[in-house]
Amino acid sequence: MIAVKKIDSVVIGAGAAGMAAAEVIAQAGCSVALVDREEQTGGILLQCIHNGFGLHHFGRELTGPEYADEFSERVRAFPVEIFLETTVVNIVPHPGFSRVITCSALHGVTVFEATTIVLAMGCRERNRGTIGIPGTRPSGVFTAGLAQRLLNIEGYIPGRRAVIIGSGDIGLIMARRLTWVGSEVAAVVEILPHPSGLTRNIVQCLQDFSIPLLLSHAVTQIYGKDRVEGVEVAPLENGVPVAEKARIVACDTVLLSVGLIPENELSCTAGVTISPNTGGPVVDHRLQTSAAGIFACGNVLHVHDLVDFVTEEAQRCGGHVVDYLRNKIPAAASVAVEAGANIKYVTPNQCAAGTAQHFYLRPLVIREKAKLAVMQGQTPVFSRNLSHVRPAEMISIDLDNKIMGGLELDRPLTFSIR
Amino acid sequence: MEYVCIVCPNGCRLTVEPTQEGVVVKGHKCPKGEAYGRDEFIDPRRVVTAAVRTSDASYPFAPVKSDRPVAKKDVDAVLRHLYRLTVDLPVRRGAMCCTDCCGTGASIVFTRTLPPSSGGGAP
Repeated sequence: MIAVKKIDSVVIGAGAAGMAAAEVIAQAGCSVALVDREEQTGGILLQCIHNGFGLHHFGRELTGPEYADEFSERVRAFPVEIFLETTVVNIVPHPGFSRVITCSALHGVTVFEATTIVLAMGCRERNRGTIGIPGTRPSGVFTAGLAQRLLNIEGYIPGRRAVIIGSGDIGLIMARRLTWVGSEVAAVVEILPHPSGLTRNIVQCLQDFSIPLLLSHAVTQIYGKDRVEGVEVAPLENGVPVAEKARIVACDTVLLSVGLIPENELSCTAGVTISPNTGGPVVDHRLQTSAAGIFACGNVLHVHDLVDFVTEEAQRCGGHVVDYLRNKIPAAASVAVEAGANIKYVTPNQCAAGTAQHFYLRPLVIREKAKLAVMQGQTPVFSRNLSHVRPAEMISIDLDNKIMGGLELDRPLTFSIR
Repeated sequence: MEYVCIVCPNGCRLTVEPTQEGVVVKGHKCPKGEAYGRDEFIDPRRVVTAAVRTSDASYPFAPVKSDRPVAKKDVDAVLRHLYRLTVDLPVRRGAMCCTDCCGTGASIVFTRTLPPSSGGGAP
């Protein structure tokens, strides 16, 4: 006999986004189930044992587990039904509700008939396959996040001499962590002419230990039969590796920190439209996807720079879910949102004229002193001077009721950096 | 000495020099940057985070941090001390793991609440 539960909302993923959304929904008195395949709530924060989280949200620096624990305690203070070690295998939309099919060793198969769903599955790491590094296939090649889990949760040191490919923040954090457990980091190899991670991590994770950061360099080959024995590193000229200047760096471990992709396999089973710019669902001003009653927040929607912004976005999402459940008639999403010059993406993808709206955008360029311009056709809507712009940092802006009230219907709103 | 300020994302390039009037910081855009430059020059400190071994197989490691920044030169000693420890579960977030670790004045606290032992021994 398969258990069927009728419920106001199912939140999929109990990381930073899912916990914050579930708390808001439960606080409003709606019934909510929080589902996660792991054994505990907290998501990826639990393996991020370094500090630097929560400066915006809590006003003090926390480690990942502390940030997660704060929210784990908060969701447990409300009547949130938590289903751990439970995997969502399918979402089937019906008129007015969706069926969420889950299975677990503990509860067997459970089907939720949910009026709303919050997608909060986070993101996954790009790996060797996605960037295509030639060579043999020995053991010792890890994504940085996997190595982080092995070291910080399971307690296994992944190797004794590592080369880190990519200068994303997880890779930089792992460079320090490996050094602190007595391993050596031979080099961090970055294909771009500038680091991808935050400056503080370059300083505290590389410069503190004199770890070389090779900018405009690529790993062009991985060597080793059973275990990694070394990598070939070549400088790039005009974007192409120069084979004559390549050299071999001996190492037993390769870590990849080459970007994150929103995890939307499940969203696709629900027939949700995915944006090619963010890799996450296309959402309207209420963070509702193309499927009615299915909402998205956190890294499943777009990859954030700071967890504080994930929390902020998820709390807003929870509020929209509550409004939906209470049958509040929303303002019509009447204005499309577009990324203009030097912007990779803007989210949400639609907004409503007359309704205050928060936007996140991701720049494509590095600039000191830039100007963010929001236009409708040739009409300026809003502008702001920025002291600096970096692809590693999201830009967060609020447009109030007054600005949004001046928008014309059915003309796209374009964000650009000059 | 040259430093990149990490107080905010501006990342000011600081030049710090000792003079007869004391340490002089240049290149900062705000007072926080000046203080950062001076501290980095005179007494650089870092918060230490690590994972200590537990006697429980379900949660073999418990995350910890120093409750205040530790002098950079003492970080290695603190880490070496922490790697020698084995703690019993349960542990509570914020509870003391080790007071005045290695004479640094900093205490080490747990950063995660872990449940009581499930009965499994250390692997």
